[in-house]
Amino acid sequence: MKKILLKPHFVRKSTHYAPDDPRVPQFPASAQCPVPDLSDFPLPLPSKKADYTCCAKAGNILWLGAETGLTRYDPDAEYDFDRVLYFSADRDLKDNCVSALLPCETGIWVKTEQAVTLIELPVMSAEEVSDTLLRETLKYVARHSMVSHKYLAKAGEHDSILPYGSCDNDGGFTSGFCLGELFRYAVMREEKGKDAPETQDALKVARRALDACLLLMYIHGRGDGFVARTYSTADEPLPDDGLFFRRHGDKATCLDTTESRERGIVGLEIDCGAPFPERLKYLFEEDGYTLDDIYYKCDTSSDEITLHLLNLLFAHKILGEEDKELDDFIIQSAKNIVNHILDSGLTLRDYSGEPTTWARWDEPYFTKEIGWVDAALNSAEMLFYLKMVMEISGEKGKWQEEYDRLAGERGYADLPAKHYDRLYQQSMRDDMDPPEEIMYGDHWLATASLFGLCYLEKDEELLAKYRAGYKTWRTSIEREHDPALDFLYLVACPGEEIDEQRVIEWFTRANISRLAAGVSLKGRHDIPVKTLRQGYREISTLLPQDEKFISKYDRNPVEYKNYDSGGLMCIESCYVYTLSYWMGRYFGFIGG
Amino acid sequence: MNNAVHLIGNAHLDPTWLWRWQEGCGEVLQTFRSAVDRLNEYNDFVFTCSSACYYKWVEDIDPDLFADITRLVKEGRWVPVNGWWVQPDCNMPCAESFARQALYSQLYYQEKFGRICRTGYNVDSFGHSAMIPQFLANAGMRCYVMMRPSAEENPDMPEGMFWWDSPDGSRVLTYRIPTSYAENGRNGIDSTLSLLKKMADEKNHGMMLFYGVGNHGGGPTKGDIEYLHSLENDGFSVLKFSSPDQFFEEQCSVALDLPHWSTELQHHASGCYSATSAIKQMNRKTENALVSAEKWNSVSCALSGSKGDTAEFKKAWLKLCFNQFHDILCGCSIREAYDDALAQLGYAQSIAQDEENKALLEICAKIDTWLDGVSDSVAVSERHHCRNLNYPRPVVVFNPLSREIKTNVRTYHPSSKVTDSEGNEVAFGNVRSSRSNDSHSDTVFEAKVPALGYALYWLWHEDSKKECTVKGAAKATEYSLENGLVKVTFDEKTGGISSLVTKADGEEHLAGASLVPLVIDNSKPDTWAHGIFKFHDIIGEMKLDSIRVVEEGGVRAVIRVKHVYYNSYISQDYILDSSSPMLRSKVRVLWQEPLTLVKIPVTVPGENPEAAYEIPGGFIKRDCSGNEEPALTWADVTAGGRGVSIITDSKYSYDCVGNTLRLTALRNSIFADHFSHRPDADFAYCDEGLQRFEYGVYAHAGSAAESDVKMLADMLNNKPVAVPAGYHKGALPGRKSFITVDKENVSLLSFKQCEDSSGDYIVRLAETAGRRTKTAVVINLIEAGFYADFRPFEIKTFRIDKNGYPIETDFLESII
Repeated sequence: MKKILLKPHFVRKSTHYAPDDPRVPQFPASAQCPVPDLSDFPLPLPSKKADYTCCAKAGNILWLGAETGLTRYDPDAEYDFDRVLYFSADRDLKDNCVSALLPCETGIWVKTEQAVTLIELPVMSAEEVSDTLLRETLKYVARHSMVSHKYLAKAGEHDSILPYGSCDNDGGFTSGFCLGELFRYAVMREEKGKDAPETQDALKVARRALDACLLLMYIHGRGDGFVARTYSTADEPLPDDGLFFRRHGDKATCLDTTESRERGIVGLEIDCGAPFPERLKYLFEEDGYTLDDIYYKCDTSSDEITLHLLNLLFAHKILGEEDKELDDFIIQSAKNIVNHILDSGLTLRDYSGEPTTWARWDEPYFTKEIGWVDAALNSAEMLFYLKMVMEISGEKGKWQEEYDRLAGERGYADLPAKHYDRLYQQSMRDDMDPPEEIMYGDHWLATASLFGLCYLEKDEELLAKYRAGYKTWRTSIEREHDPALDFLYLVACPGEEIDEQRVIEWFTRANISRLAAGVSLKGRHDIPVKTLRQGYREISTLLPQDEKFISKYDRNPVEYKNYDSGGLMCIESCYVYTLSYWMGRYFGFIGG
Repeated sequence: MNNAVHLIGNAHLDPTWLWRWQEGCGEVLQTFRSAVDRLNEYNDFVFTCSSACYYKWVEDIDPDLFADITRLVKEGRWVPVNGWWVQPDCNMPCAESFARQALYSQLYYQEKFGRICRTGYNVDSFGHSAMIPQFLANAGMRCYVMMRPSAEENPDMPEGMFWWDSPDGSRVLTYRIPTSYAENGRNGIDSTLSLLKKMADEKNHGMMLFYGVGNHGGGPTKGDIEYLHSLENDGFSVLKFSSPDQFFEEQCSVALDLPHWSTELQHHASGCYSATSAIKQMNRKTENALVSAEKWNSVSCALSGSKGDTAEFKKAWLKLCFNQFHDILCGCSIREAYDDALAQLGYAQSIAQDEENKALLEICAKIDTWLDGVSDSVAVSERHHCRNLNYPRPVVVFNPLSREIKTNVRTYHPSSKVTDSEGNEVAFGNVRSSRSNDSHSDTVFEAKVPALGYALYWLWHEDSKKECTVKGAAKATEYSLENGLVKVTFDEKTGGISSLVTKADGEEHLAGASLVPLVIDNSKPDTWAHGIFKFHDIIGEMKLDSIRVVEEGGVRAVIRVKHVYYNSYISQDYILDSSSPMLRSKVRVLWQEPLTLVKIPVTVPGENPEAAYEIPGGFIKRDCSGNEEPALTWADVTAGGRGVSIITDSKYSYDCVGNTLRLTALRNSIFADHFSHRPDADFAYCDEGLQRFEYGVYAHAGSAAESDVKMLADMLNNKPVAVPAGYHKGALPGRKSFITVDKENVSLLSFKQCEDSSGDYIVRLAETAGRRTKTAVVINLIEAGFYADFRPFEIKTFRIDKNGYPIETDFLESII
């Protein structure tokens, strides 16, 4: 693929005003133009033609208001995907009932039933978008330097952000965020020099995120390579969605949640006396907490392990040479994890000594009904872990032995290629369509592990198997047209192709905030909806980022859905964009 | 263990083959009665039967029997499979035909039995396009039973069960019958059972035994059922009376790790794609006529706000669907059967013509063709011709394709000037008409017509002496044709083409003489060409009889070449239109040579040739080893970064031998000659006599997928229709498009009314270049427009309600 140059492009900015706000201009009747005859309009329109009630022209740009939102038509737009834009509630408008339009120098005033909104389209470079999103995340989303999402007290208002709120996958999501920042640092270091302010800023953010990830590998005090899902401090409310242990001295006690009550382990004490790395304490001490203020979440899944290890692989590659002490710590941490898994019969052992619910890479699990489908992913993950440890440690020994045993004798290298077969068969058994069966979060995990294997493996026979496995996953992954997923695929499988126009659209039609607000699909006249076997609804085209719901890598992007993945009371982290962008720069797919 | 052998009681019913359809219908009635009797006699017996057509025959002729069957279907003991009208040939029907096979059949099954078929089932069809999984999936079928090609014919194919994927990603769980679809008698059952049990153990999945007297119907006999009972009682506990539906459901309930197949299933009867040209030509023409007529019918209904009626079209489509039965379309039935088939397809075409003509005239009536000063709403008539020297005559040209076209259009009278609706002059010429009366000339003019739309042109009568200033770019010399795009040079000795140069890059696209017809020995193969996959035994090259310039140039130039071989000849009018990159040949063949085959070759220069062939809904690349291959409207050979396509209006068979692509123009076998020792008779031959067809030769840079071959093939097969109009006021402008699709690699397969009489419209689109694409579709006609993403070669169907809101559906139109 030739290098893509992302030109500066407009982004959407909406400012809402009460109708009687003195800053709102008068809407003179003369500002309105009659809705033109749309009967021969050359493109699909988001609203039904008969529903357009008002119109305004600004140069060649035609703005059309309807009861179902606002449409902008630019017949001269450079890109096809920019010719017709749709603005809707709640992200762009307060409500969809547009009654009057007034172009101004910076954009257009839009009168709707509930408010008057000034819509502006300032031009920003992709790098500026990335930076804007990063600053929003650092300001609003980061929690103890972990970044997933945070909840709001009032929908749509940044400043109503709640100071707490853990996420089941804090570890995994923060790893993804960190990876983006590591790539940013590498690109900045290469382009601007190590001491440039931008480079140092990237390093600072990346290092903190990396430490936040590493902290989860030690916060439980078990000293056995286990990894906590997330942690909170004592003054944060205890979420009722899993198992949490509160540290006190050398012990940790299981807290009272529905799950712990069901398991009968409320109050269970376990050891947590393993030495805690001094280098990580600042992450909670700077906020005035000690280890005894911490409760962590266990029952960690394979997702976290995979994303942590991909992150550590690139942390080693990017930071290792310039900070040997850090590199040793990275290597040791990775080895601890993989050692733990090997010592635990290819599982992640929880507080009880038994495997956690979703971290199993062992053959007995692969023969169970759910494990039989998971085997295609989990086998690749396990091989990636071993390959990754060998890569960063330079050691072979038991890692190589186990890798050879699993890849060869136990057939793990052949399992990734069975992914789609097994998923498809399961969908037949469940009388579902395959998209109803897909776990979208698995796309990142499959990409991480299969990319990792293809990236690191030199044996042609094994490499061919991994690429074959990767390609079976692409059947569903490529539905997303997500640049990060696509870029890693191109690195892993040279010669394959992706849709460059989609990549350009994805970056240039990005949101400049990850504030959940929701979009309107219901009134859209230009988007067909498809109902699958079990009633799940999809749309027939992947919408631009600025017209679809906001999510992480864990949702079907063509789901027929008006609301962002966190509902309306949420700010998502920036990493879906920042990771894609800086990964593209790092691997040379995107020009600077 | 999941290695039971499922006993599938069935009767293979060929409604036409060595008998006519009327006998086939009787055979169905007798077989169904017999099956009901067996079901009443044996409580555990299950009967499986395909083909909605057969059920419809029984429903119409023997309602009591049909009531019995309905009860048994609801009890789960009679299992309809294959939600298609018949078991068609699975290579030659177009994608829209497969959609209709499913649409009418699955709706019928739903209406009569309260369920659709879950399993596709074409156990006798002679080969399978790579798109079959997509066609099945689009009709609610996720499992498939097939048999041909056999393991001997294609040893690379998986045995037993496998996952079969179409290029778009559609998938069916497929079972290939390893022996026969009609085992019967103790010996046959014993030997097959033994094989199946061995395969089941080896593959660790179940197998199916298909038993019952077949081909001419019959079904399971009492003897066979009782023998199978005895085996069950003798300890063969892995045997069970079952159906394909039950088989697949049980297989899916346990872990399967099966092999894959992700291309077509070929070859079995390689001669079937060329035998009996007449039925193939009628199939193509009927498909195109129906698709086109439905589009214009829908446009007309939308313009007038009427709901329209799909009933007539359904009748026509069902005649077409029936005659796509594999033994009919493949040209291997008895001669008498083709009289029936051609009559039925004629009926279908007649419906299409009626509907299209009505629709086009209704649309014409809404177009403003009034000229101030015209006193009469019709032109002054003089004998057979409209002759108004003071005013030009309006002619509306309709384009049924979803892309704008620029092409020559013919009307049946001469002109002195032609202008478009804006008053701009366009190139035209008066060419020799086919009649010998009056002026002896027709007008050919260059029309530019919007996507699924029309353009109004004004033709001044020849005698009006208007001056024409625009000339076409085509010209002929004694041995060459050229326009602004290509130059073609003929070989004066052979009558072939020695050079084909594209002017944009100056590249020569031929390596040596091409298009000289070759005569090939066809005496060994039977009608199917069982066991023969290549036709390479050349017994003669046709000799040049004459070559002469017929039209010197302008809007087109024509050279006529005639070749002879013993008592036969092929006369070709090579036509180069002014603005077309394609050289057309209008062929007239009089063929009288028994057991021969004729091929028309083109040879390209360059290394590493690659052949590509159109298949239903897409194209496929195949090797250049010389196998006879099925294809729809085009085939292509590309080497060294450039290639040549052959495009036809009625042929389905080609081979590619290295750098040489060869169109199989005809194959003159004995009708229904099945491994025959041919005792002496006054044989009828399936391609003897006169036939006319048209083909094109198109040189291009890059691969076929990057070229305009698909568009040119569509244009050759779906020519614009020129409708002479009267003078009248109207609301429609002089030029209009009703549907536009913004990507060239997305084709409009169908624009029709929904079958549920709701008044909703159905729009079916196909990606044809094999690449992921996002497209915008605008149907201002019904106030609709939408976006859709396509996977490579994906077919998508949309249903649009009266408010213009689209939903994505499938071949069944969301009626079920």
